[in-house]
Amino acid sequence: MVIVENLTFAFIKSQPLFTGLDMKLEPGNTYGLFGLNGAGKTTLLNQLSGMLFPKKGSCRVLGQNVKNRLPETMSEIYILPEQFDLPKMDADTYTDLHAPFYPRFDRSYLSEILNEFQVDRQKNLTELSYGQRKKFLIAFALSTNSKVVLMDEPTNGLDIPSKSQFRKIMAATDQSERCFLISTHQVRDLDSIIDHIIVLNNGKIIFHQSVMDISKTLGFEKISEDSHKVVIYSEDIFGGKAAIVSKNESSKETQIDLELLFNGIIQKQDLINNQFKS
Amino acid sequence: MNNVFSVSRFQLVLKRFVVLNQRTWLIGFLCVAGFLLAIAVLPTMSDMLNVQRPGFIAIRGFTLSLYTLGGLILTSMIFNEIHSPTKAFQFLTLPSTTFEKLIAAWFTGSVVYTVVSMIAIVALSVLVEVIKGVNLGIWTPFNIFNPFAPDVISSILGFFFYQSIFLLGAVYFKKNNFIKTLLIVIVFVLGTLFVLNIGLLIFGLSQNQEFFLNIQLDAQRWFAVLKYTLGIGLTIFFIWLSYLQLKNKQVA
Repeated sequence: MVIVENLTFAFIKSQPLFTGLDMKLEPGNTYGLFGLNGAGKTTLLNQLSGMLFPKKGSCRVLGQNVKNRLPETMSEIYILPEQFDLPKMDADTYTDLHAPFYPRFDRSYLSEILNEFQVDRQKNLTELSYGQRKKFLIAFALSTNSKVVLMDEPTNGLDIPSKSQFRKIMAATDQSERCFLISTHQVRDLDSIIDHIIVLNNGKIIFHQSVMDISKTLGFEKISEDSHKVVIYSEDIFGGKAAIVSKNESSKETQIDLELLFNGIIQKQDLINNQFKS
Repeated sequence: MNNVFSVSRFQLVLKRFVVLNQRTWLIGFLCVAGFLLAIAVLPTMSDMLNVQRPGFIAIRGFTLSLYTLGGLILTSMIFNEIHSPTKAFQFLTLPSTTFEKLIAAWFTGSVVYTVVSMIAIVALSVLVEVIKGVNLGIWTPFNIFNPFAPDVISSILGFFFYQSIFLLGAVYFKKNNFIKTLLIVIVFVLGTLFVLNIGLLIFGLSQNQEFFLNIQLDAQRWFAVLKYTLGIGLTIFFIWLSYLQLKNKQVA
């Protein structure tokens, strides 16, 4: 569905952000895109939405180069940026102006989500709080029924109940023919809805695995200081260590600790990736 | 959904431009209309200048100049959205071709603006004439603005030409589009005049002779044809440059 090939891009010529980045996203999945600050997560989303063009290589969505911004392609992509400004109009006027561009736009679904989020549709979008505006745009993004939805920090600015509503809505959304790529630092907000994890570092994708494979391959345990288990990566926590261990070392089913996994990948990229090769 | 020009998509983009800009337009129109009404009607009502004001005729030329100036300012603002990183995504990722977007912007700033302006000017002239008639008892319905008069058509065509340059400025410059484009036009015109004068001096023609030469040229039919052909050609050229600029526009 989304194919990124040999993507090379730089804002400053001498400091390339991506050098030959490759990535493939399949329908029916929700991908979590993680990376350190400045790793290029937002830039990658902008490349995938046609807001930025690669210096070399290509980003293809449904076989079409996104750079061409063809209507057929763009109607299948929706980007929800982290920072955005909306025009001075109410939610219904905004929808009337933009929804007709998306052939499968579902107005009843939009109403449903806006009701769930308790967004005031009568108020001007500019008068809504940042969180309320974000909820409106999340609702709009999901209602477009576009096949590729790119979200940059979607839970930033949402209050605690809204975060859980967001997870609920995402879980209820039909994802069978759609692909979601969510960039975030708030790993705990989204760990229940992500089924693939992508880690971006130094202009390359250094980790790309499904949650299922991670669960099969790695164990996440709290171990004591004197544990004899072979640890792939560990962090000191109160009363012991949080550790990533090989599944051979861990017999029990453990829940993935995304924060620990991310830190492990950044610190011990090769060691963790090697676990998936064997 | 196809990727070639679609009339329905063009209409949707056009509607979007009109709705997004209507507030600015309304404020602009009301300010200009109020100002024109004041300078046309107040002397008539108060007789402070102690002259028989001719009603709308007194501000006709000024109104046409404001029509051109206002249109160029509004055109300069039409792509404000794409220069803001927090707004650009809504326009650049809108499922419509670049050509549809560009033509919709051009159409809004030229045709829609001109139609709205002409209707507004006719309404203003009627209002001014009615107020004058009521106050002075002199009724001059022939002073009501005729948007199809030859000089008005000529002003509209001139506006369409300059509008295409300001459309390019609107896509190209990130801030202060109107001022920057205006400066470039002024520098270009002054430069051209300078070069022409140098050329005329080289060929031994004085500035006065050049002035008479221009007058004589204007009267020639072939010159008029050349002027309009060049004008239309340059207008299309500037719209095409705007298209290329918009097609390659990137926002981070």
